[in-house]
Amino acid sequence: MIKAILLAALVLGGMGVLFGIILGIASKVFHVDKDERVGMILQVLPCANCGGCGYAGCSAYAEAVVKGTASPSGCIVGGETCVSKVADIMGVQATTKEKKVARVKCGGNCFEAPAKYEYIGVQSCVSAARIAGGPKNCEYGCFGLGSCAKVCPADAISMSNGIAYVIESKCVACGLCVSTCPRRIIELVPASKEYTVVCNSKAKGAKVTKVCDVGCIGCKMCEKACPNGAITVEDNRAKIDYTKCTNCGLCSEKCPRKIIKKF
Amino acid sequence: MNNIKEPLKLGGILGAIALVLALLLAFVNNITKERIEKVNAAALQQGLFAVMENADHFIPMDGVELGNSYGVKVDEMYLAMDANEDVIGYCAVAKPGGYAGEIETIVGVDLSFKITGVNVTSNMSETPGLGAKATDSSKFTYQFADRQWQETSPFAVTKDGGDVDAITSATITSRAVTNGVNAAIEVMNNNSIYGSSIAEGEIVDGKYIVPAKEREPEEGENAVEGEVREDE
Amino acid sequence: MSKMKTFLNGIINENPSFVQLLGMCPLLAVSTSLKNAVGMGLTATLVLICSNAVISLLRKLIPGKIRIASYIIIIAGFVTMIQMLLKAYLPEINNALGVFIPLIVVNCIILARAEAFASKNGVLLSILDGAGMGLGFTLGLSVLAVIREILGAGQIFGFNLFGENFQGVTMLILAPGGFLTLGIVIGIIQLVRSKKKEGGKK
Repeated sequence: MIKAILLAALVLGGMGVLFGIILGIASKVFHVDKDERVGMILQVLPCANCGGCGYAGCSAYAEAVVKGTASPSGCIVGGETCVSKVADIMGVQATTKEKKVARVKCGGNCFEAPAKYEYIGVQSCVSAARIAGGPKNCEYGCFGLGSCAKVCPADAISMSNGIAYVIESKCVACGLCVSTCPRRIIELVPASKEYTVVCNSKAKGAKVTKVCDVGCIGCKMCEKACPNGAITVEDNRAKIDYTKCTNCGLCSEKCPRKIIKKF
Repeated sequence: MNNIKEPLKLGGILGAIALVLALLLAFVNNITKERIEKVNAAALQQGLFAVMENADHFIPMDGVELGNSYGVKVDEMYLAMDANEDVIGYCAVAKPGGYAGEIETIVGVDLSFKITGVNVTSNMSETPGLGAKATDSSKFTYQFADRQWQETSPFAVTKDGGDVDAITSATITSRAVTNGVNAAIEVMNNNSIYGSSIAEGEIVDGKYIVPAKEREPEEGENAVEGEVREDE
Repeated sequence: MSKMKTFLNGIINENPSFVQLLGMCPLLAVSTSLKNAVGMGLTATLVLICSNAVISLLRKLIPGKIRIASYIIIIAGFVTMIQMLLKAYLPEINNALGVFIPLIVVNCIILARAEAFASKNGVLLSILDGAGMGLGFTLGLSVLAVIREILGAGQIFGFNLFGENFQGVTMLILAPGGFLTLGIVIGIIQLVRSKKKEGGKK
């Protein structure tokens, strides 16, 4: 009996020692120089792999930071604490990116902007947009099938009366909705700026009135009203330059169609 | 130095874990060994009695020629004895390869090689609901009972031209068991003893020693001379 | 995570069979009868609890380079011990499960939980996680087994439900049936989950 136990211990223990040594040698022979900072950064990141930083997941971003091609403040989802930790690991000073928030630039809900046809099919904006220019008369508007809501990792987008809107308190500004929307209706704006033009239409004024009650007609009243030149009409629609906007709200007062909203 | 130290350290830790587990395994093996042997022996006895109800006890045979023309693995052969120490038949354990591994099949025959019973034990991995039905004697193995085995016309399933009804959707299992029966009986036939009584000295340690076959003298060899040589 | 949450996680939210899709090989092979399913599930649960506990105990001592080798030694050791115990005290279960008992060693679920949980958490939590995942696996096995045994063989736990001569949908007992049943069950579960999510959002 003792013999059997000894044999078992010898064989198994011996194999363990042998393989342990082999693994140790192998790890030296096949060693790949990986900067240990990558692992440290990965531990600090939220690891949701949302892709909001623009890289293919948190490990890709961590490697880019160590390589020097990405700034430590790239992770918006991680917030200030994350950014400062990453900066600490890299030994640099970090400038926090300003908190941003997504806003849907379309106010033409089912009452204001009628549909062109009834769409029955895959409930995806990307698919519907391909069929005869989309189910809405306005070719630049939101038709509320919810592709943005589905892709939002924070559950911050909801549908109301046939169009999307963002619940700003939940938004982490990862930007996934921005790239998902086939019409580029959603924009990331600095959270502190309160006014946004809620229209995306590049169509000429007369055409816009035919398809939507709250579309921008490019009348330029806002442009004239702004004391800082922050809002200009380009491509038949008003656009706000947030570096110049001071939240005075004059553009919103003057807009005849009331489409510059306060958020 | 570090280069040598690290592999040694890894080897040490892995070896230590392996060692501890080896000791644990040896310990558990020790406390279960006897019980496992008992369980296996009991299962075997149960199977043997299932094929030969009239037997009083069984004596394993030592030195049996287990080869057979069916290529089936036959493990053991037993003498079936009655209460008067007379041989009333034989049993053999065949393990043909079925659909998913070996199928332990116990076959019992009386002295005239009429089958007294066939039992497929649960020591097999055939598909439940299909091949596994072979363990239920009312479903399959009942067909072999009381049949006379003939060397010239062995048993076969209907698909292969025989008259054994296979289990529905379990042809491979059925074929395997049938082959196992054939093989077991062939082995028993090749090793049957002469008559129904055994001499005193032939049972050693609870096992029956099959007497070695007598050597035929080769051409030109003088039988007497051969014997003298052995004495030297 | 709280103790109760850790335990329930493995049964519902992160059920290894239907949500994580781990351990598919034994799931398909052993779910042909409820008896085998429960036997396998409970055996695997026992292995999970033991291996999770030991790996969690040793987590600070095992260097990263021999991580996988150590885990496998520990898991294989426990499976062998449990098989010996089965052979001695529950030989019928041993025979029924046959070759799938040694296969528990390479069951994805066990190694996955060792890597993902036991190597990073305390002993008590690891034990709870092991128990939860194991029971979740058992649940998955049982759900499939009930469907396949009743419809495929007209039996449950070996008892004939519809009489001796009932010929069930034999395909369900074989490999294709396993895949189909699993696919349909997962489909239904995903449907329910997405409806729940949609309902919650709106």
